[in-house]
Amino acid sequence: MFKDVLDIYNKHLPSILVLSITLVFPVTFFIQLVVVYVYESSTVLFPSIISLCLLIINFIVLFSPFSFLTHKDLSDETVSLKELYAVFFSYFFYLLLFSVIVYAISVFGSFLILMPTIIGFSIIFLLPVFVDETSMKNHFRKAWLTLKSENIAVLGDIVIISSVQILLWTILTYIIKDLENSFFFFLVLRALVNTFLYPLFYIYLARKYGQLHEDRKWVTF
Amino acid sequence: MFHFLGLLKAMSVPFIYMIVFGFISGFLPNMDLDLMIVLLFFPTYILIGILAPIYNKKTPYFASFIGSLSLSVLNIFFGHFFIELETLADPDRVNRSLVLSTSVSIITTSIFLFTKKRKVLKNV
Repeated sequence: MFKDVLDIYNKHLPSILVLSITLVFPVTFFIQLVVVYVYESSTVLFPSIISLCLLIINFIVLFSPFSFLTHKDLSDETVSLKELYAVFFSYFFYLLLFSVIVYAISVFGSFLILMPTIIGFSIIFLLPVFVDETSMKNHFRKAWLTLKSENIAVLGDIVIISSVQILLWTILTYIIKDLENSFFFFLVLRALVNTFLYPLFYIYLARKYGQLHEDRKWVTF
Repeated sequence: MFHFLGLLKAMSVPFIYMIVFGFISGFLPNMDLDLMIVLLFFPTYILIGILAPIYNKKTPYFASFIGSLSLSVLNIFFGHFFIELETLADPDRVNRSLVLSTSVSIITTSIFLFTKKRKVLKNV
């Protein structure tokens, strides 16, 4: 599995680098700034819940161009950068809206012994894999079917992805701890970690769960 | 038939423009407030007036109306709950903002559809 992921990453390295520098870096930088603002501001009630939602949005919103690239690679078709940007700009608001709604459901349902929370988090992580469905009913049905068939594996993937990010971020902050750093330096470092790490996660998730259903129709401009 | 998914796809580019321009305009030092509001307001609703009929070919006017209405309602609620501006205090002002945004996007949609029809007729 990891060898396939690295193969796809190597084969499309220039377009992945351009995408991650032009899309992943600015989005991550902006969202880190918003997290800092939320913690500093006095009007927001629960800053930790909102900042976790923002970090999840950061992961989910950037998913669609990389999964498009993976599907095209698996069916041996060529991909152009223009198509990838069109995919990002057409699926942005849909992913953002539904990740916010499912996150709100999973947070408000946390008093039911965390069951809605676990189901909601795994649905949030499976939503962008099947984003290319023609109707919303099919989209949620396929996410639910995949959740039922691979229930523990999804949770394991969530744990792996979050722990790898936290580990790298901790190591880098320990390295630069004694230097004199400004506030923007930490944000740029965090954004650089995400820039080189997120495409691997996206290709891995799209390769693992996206193979179950074959027919795909991406609708862009 | 009205496609909800097409409406969400059409709303993504104006939403990104709104966020990015609102973020950049905070860094510009001595910008005129009226000019800033005009630069934020008109491109957003003109963009949704152009993009809504591309995804919803059967119901273009309804799609642009609902898109601009939901964008302005999102703006008002964000200002009310997160930044605690008093956007819901004056009902007259809320009414004016909703009417302005929806009328701008519907007029843009009508102009876009007329020019498209004219182009098709000229080519034939």
